[in-house]
Amino acid sequence: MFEKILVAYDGSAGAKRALDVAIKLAALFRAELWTLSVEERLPHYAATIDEVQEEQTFAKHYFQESLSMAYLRAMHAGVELKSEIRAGEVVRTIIEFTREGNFDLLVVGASRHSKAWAMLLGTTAEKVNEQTPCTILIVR
Amino acid sequence: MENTLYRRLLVALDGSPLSWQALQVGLQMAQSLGATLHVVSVIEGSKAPLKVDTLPDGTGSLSGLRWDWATYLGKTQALALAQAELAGVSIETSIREGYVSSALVATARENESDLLILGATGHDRPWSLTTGETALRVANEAPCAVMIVRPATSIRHVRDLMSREPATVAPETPLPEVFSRLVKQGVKLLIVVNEQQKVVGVITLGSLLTHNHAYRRLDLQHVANADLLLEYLRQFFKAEKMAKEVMIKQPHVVKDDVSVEQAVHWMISHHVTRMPVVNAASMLVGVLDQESLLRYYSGFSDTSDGPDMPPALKDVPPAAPPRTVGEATIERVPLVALETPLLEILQQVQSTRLRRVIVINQSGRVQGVIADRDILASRGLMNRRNPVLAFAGRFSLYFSEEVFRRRLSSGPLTAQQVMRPHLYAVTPSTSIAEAVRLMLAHQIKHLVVVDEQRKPLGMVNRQQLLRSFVEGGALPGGENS
Repeated sequence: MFEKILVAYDGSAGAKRALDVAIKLAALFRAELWTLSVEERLPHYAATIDEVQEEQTFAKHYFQESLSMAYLRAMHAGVELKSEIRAGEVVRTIIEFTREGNFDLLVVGASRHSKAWAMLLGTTAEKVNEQTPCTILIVR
Repeated sequence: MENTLYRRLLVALDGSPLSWQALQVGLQMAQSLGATLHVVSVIEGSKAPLKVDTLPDGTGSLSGLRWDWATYLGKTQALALAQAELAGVSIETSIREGYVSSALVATARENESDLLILGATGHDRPWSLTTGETALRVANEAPCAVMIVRPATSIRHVRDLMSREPATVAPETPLPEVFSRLVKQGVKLLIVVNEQQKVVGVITLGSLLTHNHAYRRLDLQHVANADLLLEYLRQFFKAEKMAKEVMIKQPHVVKDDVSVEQAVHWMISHHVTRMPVVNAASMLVGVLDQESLLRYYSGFSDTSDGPDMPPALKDVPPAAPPRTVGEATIERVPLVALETPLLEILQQVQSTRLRRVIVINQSGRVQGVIADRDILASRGLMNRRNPVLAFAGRFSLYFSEEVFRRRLSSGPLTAQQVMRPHLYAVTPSTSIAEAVRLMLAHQIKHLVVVDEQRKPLGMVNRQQLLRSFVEGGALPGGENS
């Protein structure tokens, strides 16, 4: 049913729950599993090139640390996990990647702030190509 | 398998295509997880599909105009139960009233559901019950995980199905060559392109005969007189004209990135069977025809280019040009019974060159004809009546083919419902001139040939008959029409 599953993964508690569900689903349906971590726009106070690079390095480290946990969990369930780290605006980057990779399920963790998935879901008012092009699972 | 994921699933079903897909997702998850499944439909009482602000006379009640949601959803749920049974999953159903989003959230809470599955959007406006906003509200308020179902990314576009070798001619191509392509080579849609590969017109045999010059200029007297008509046609095909003078100008084209659904919808509603496909720069890149659409919907994995164009007829004029239908080539066409199920008809139609089957009754008499076009047009019917059939081809469902077949054979759509009633037939002794006249006067491409007992022998087609008399010079002598 689902052949290619993507987890929006930012290392938060919600994202970890989403990952757990996605791993189970991937095992169940023998689907390909990916995580996408999006580096938010760089902080405004980064004044020098050095500071920008420092921020980037920090973000990479941060994601890689939480991703290694993700690999372990997936491996434990017998699922191979692939991951991608991209810089950009979160929602747009997720949508782009979903479309690029022909994913058929996007799993996101519910957070207190519904704004993120509100944009992911889109409404009828928006253009089709600004919506997530696949089924979304919001995990609580 | 031990289920540590979800145990109590809830699906929101309003009868819209995406809600059926949500049900399929629910059924499969219930099956794989061993979870229970509840299907809920919501009647949002205040919304009627007919939006009437004021009645013509300013009075009266609107109640008569309200859509009977209760009956509709009752039927929808009955179908859902049938599908669940087919999938080997037992489900519960309920119908609630209220605002869709709050009703769904309340149901999820009461049933202690841990996953709510719903379509991203419901029915098209103005029928819509679940809009994107509904899905969003549910996502925010539901006490459980929410799955918003969208069509898969692998949605097919025109470019995935089109044939990449369209038959083209230049605007200056002389008419005899156009005729030869259409009649001798059996090209069905000739696309006229300029040097920049832009589509400037299209020519089909039908358009050549009926829309432009030949047929319209003939008055009724000519039509009644087959001999004159044939002579006229013969001259017409040899006339010194160019493609650009006989083509349909500014034809409808379809962009290659349009979804297949849209293209089909458009083609059915405009009675078009083939369309040129253009890219973003308006250059011709292919042609979309109903044969490939049918292959797509029937789910046949036959990826060969398919017999879109019939094999070119032998380029040798017959020694003695046929005078009667009996002397011409009568094509054998599959015969099907009135109660033949649609899938079987679909296969039969696709197996034959003329893409038609003849429907007969128990005593073997012709009752009607089914062309590929009729099957495609019946898809709307299928959407309503048999979502299994309508969606199985498009979404990779888990029904095994046998189950699918079983379901189909008990399904409601049969030859009788799809066929066109049979109106015109000829016998082997009918003159070719008369047969051609019938075809032109009624704008039909194929005639059923029957014997004296009205039992079908096969069909003759327009292209073949035209070829036999214009090419072979078989001008009829003394027949009267």
